[in-house]
Amino acid sequence: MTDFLKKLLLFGSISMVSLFALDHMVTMGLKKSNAFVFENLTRIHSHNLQSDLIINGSSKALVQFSTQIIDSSLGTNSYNFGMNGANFELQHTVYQLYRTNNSKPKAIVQVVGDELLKYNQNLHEYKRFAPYLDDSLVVDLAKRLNGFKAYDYYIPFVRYSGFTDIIINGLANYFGINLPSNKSNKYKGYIAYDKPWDYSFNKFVTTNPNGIDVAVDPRLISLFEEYVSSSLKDRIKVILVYPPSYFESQKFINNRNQIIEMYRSIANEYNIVFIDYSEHELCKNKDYFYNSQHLNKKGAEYFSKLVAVDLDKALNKN
Amino acid sequence: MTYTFFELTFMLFNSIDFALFLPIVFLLYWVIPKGLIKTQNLLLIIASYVFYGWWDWRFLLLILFSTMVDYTIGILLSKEDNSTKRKALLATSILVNIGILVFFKYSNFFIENFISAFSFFGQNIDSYSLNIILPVGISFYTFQTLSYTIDVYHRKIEPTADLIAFAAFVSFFPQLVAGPIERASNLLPQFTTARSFSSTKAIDGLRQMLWGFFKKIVIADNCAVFVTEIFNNSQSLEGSTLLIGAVLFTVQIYCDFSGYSDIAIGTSRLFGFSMMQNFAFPYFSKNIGDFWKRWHISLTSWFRDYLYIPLGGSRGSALLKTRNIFIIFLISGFWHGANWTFIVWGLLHAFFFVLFLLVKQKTLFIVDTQSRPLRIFTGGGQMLLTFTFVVLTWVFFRSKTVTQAFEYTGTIFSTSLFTAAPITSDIKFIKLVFLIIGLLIVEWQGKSRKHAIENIGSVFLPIRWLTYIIIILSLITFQGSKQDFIYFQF
Repeated sequence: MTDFLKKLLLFGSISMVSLFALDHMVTMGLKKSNAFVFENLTRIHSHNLQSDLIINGSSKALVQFSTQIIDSSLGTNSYNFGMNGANFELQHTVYQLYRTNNSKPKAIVQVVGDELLKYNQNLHEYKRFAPYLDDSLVVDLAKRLNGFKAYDYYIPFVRYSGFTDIIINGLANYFGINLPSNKSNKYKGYIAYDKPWDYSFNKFVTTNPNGIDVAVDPRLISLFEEYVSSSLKDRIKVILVYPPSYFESQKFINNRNQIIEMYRSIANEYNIVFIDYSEHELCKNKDYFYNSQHLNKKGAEYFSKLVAVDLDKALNKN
Repeated sequence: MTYTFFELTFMLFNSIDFALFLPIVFLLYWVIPKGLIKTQNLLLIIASYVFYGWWDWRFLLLILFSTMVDYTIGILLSKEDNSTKRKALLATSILVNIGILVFFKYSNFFIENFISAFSFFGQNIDSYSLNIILPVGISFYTFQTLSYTIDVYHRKIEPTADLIAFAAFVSFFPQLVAGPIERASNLLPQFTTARSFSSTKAIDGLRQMLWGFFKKIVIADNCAVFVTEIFNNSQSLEGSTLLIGAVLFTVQIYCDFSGYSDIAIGTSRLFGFSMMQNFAFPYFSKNIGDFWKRWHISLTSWFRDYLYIPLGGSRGSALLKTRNIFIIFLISGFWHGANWTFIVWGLLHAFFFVLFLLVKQKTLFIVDTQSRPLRIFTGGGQMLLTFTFVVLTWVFFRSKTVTQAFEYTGTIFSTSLFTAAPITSDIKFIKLVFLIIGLLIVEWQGKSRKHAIENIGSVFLPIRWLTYIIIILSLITFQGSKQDFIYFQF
């Protein structure tokens, strides 16, 4: 028995060393990765992002705010932190990571939407945070939400379990091999989708003929107000932008007017600019959208020119 | 707050709960001095009840009830010489065990079919079904206890007076919920004799567990993603994709169930027990008869010993023999679940089994007279033919309804079989194909052993350990989305 346990201990130790080594290589590789889900965090942690204008938001920011157009129109250095499926809790953590690792921006464009302050118990696309489980801000967020398991924090390498493509990407980066999947397809955080209307809205209407009510989380409202207030204290201008959505979809968010009103009242309370594009004529042109919530490349470029003009006015106010 | 370490669902072998549970029980078990068999058995009962109760403690009462009934009947049978009374005692055990099984597993099936039958004749009865939870593993442990009583009745084994040993035999956690369905003649005596720790046995047990985990976590769980998608959308998919779906399910169910059996057998070896082999590389079978000697051996042999042989077995006329085969496969299908799909699956196997028996002699003659290269070629062809048949029958097993299964197989045999399947350009699918090829190579080279990687035990130590580490790393790297074991539902 003792002999068996000794052998088991020795084998366990060798296995653990192998896991540590592999974990180290994958983590280091991913911290240099420019693959879609890792690019933002890689740039944040490289300490050289130093943007003047930060665009914060979900996919509504990611695919609709062309940093190229905004930079050339405003003569600024912007970065788009839009992330698919990210509610404010997640966006806030990424912004905090930015602030910890980079100098403060001059202004933030916070893209607001119907689901920004909705509680989501899941850490969306949690794999993007896997290489950063040594960062207290990330750990704090990850432990509040579903995604990582408790042992992911203690047993090396298991946080990557099942993510074969990510492991390969990390290892390749570690050894200096630049795989096609590692190539960035964003421009300073922005990505355009050149595709036509996809009819997913029809499916949504069939499933939700009476529309949906979006439950706004009071805790996230407080967090949002705290974020606005502390940014202003730091002399960072904050502009709230409610982006366009296809007009026929708007009636399916039953409490949409109350949500917009909430943002307006926060803007009034903190004396910041709130720009609402929900009634803009572009909302009526299906050619600009690939689904009811997102503009395609054509729409995003049109909208970015539009928003650049309005941002210019807002930034030069006061 | 969702930051939890344990998940109070079923304690799956591939869960962190079990990864902590097993070493604790293992150490406590071997700390107990060798002579204290009762104490060791008591510990195993407690561990097994914790293991089962992790899912739902209320159903422990059912296991306890089943244990007490068969223990008592065993004792009474040993004291009784009157054949009528002995038969009555046996009938009681069968009625109680099968009664429990029928109530929990088949009540709704019978009610629904009863209503359907009446509505067919124009009589409408209000639809009513019972809200019954199917206790996990009920089909396995009831069959295990039944085999004990039947063997005692036939005086094949002596009944045990040791209630603790008997309770440990019924509830032994490695095989409690999905087998192997052990015979009392093999397992029960192991609970009444002293177990000494064997390092060789324990290491091989761990080796077998490792391979079981690979089959379940890497192969079965990755197949499951594609299988679910394909079977859920079978009506809108082309024949080529459906064929791939059927083949993937064939791989999935084997890796899922034989993986579970490997883990169960390996775990029992850590505690000094030897359990029967449950799978013997069934997809390398050359005919359907061979397949049933290699697939779910513990259940097949149970039906053979307790149903087929008492019915007359292969004795008597060809008609009787055919009848017996159909009865066995019909019941075997129904054992898997209360759905017509399982019954059709069983009947299809019965049909091909009978067909195989009819051509058996001729086939053997052809094979025996061929030269070696031709024999290999013929053997490969037989293997492929058997595999193809098995794949098609699994469609019935996996489908939700018999109609879906017929439509599914109908599409496979349509011209759309020759269209390109979009799935083949999916990188995840390509990765899975490579993993399956790896699995086949390992299983093929180990096919004469009790488990596929048994022979690694004799390889030079650094290479052996490197192989284990590679398997462990592949468990993490290629892990599929976590799925329950398929056979838990039976």
